Amino acid sequence: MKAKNKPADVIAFVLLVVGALMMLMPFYYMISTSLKGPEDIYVNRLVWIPSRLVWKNYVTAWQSEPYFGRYFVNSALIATVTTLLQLFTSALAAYAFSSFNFWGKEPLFMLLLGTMMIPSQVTLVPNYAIIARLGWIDTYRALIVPFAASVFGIFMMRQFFQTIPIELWDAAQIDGCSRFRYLWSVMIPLSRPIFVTNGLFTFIGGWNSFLWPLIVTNTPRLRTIQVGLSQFNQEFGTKPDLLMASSTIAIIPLLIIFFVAQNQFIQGIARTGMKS
Amino acid sequence: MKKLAVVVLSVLLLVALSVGPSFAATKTTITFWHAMGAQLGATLESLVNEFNAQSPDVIVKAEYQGNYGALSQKLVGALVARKPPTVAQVYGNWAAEYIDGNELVPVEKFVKGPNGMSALEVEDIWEGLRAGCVFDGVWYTMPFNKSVYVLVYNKDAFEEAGITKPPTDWQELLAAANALTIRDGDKIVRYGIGLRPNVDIFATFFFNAGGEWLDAKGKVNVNSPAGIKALQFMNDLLNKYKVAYYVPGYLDADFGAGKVAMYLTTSPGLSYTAESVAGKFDWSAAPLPYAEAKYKSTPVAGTDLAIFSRATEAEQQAAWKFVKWMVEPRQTAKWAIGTSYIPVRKSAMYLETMKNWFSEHPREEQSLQQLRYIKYDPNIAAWSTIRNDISEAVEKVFLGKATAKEALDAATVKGNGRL
Repeated sequence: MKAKNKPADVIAFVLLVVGALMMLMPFYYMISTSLKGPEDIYVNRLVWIPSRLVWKNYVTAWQSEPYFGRYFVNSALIATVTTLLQLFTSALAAYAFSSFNFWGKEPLFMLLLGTMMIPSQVTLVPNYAIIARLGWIDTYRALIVPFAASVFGIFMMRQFFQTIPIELWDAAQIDGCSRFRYLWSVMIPLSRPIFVTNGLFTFIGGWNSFLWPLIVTNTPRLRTIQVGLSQFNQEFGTKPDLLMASSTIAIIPLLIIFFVAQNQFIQGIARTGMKS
Repeated sequence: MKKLAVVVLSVLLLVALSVGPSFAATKTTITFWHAMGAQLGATLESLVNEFNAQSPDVIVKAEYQGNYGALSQKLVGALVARKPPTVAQVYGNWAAEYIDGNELVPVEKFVKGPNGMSALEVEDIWEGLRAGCVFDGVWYTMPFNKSVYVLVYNKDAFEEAGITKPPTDWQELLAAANALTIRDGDKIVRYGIGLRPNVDIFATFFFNAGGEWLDAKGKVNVNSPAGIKALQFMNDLLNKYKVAYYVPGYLDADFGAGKVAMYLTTSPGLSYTAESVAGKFDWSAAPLPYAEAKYKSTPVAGTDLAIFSRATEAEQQAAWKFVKWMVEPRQTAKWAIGTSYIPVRKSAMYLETMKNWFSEHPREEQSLQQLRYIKYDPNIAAWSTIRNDISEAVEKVFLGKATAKEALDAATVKGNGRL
């Protein structure tokens, strides 16, 4: 038997489709532009479907930057390592802020949140100076260590940890469970969606970071994919076809990770173990 | 066992002998930070390699720092950390800031030194470019990647509209823009000219109306009658006659698409223009139109080379060798050919390679005609923020939020507060 569609469902469906189209449009335009010849790019109207497909743009884009392969490896390495480190530090800090009571907890947390209000443009130069004094310029350390902890990550996780009922801790204590064991065996499995979300944000942030990697490195050996993309967007003009082709290549890893992670969102939500 | 020891020892000795001599002739290594990507970067890289190959005692490590914004932030950070490069590309107003902090060595010191430049050689550098490198009477930096503005125009469109030559003054510019604008009912299919709401495009009109950024007392003078006249004229093109439109970004794509028939750019932008036009129509470049012939001028864009004072004496001398070599006629000609920047030396124009190149690139040659009419931004540290104030004023007027006088008055007050 087929369930009848309620009008509310239809409206929701239509809204979702419209929303999805709006979100997909820039991606579509990126991919279509990456396949256009100059006659479709430099025209006085929007060209949705290229009149001919210029696959060569991909080859040209890839070859015009001899270090693209290296940039990919660097971006992947930096994004992966910072994600793991950040999840680790965020979980520890968030656990403390959500489950422990200690002197100065609230002011400390407020101070931490306050740092989110400082725009990154303000801290860029002092941060550079610190890294330079440490002698870390042109090393992977400069690209990874500053991102090993994130206030936003701590904040998000703390909010989630607070929703986990305290009864679970009581029960765990009766079973003789230590603090760390509790974090590892109870809190983290229950918080899977927030870990995935947080991890995804961090990974995307690492993958897309541009200015910082550019500034703390001097050699192409250590630079990232975004730095590679920037060469198609120079002071005097842009090469839209090559920029879009290389951008398409650059987002493929993100798309794969997103689709894998998407599964986790759903699983994570289905895992809540409490009866209220 | 003994035999083995002998073999090992003799191998070590051989290695030491073969490595030894390269230690004997130690070269001074200097770092050079630049912001030249893509084609510009490739040309720079090849010049640096050439320098390293011919230099007996200096090795230059050229390090690409992305765009000018990143380079500027990095230089500030590096100065705070006391680890600046030996040489870097700098804008005049950055240099002014570094000089305030005693971070630069004036090139004048080296020019007059033992490995210096003769009076003839100094004269050989375009006066307008040299003057832009002088701070409080001291010659600090070396003009390097410099360009001037030109008016790019669609020749086919000119012919269709019955215009025989590019406009020389503002009346002709307005007339041409009007004739080139194609209207389809209420819709405008093609605009006569494309503008950008920023201080640089404003300067192309401001200077050509006789404007001076600072008055005799060193106060911001952008709300002078020339300033108001220039901004009013730009605004009239846009909002009164509706023969112009503006975008914040580059106009090469719009020009290639036939959306605008004229726009203003500097010579290194012409290669992008060629790419976006892609042979669809004939186009060329011309000197900037002026309000009155006596005010004929052009802003100059691009950076100069600076040597940092934190480097050791040996490094500074090495840096000077590199800087001096880079602006020798042969090298500046190579640089100009590879990038469409202007050669900074007059004598470079007499080189066979340069002459040939210009005869094949008549559009780039147009910018040379402007070299005698260069005007440059004030070399004061506050100028980089004052530039933003002026850009803001231009944008406000374009958006109809203020009159030319109101906006420029406000920018002047703001700017003078920053001096």
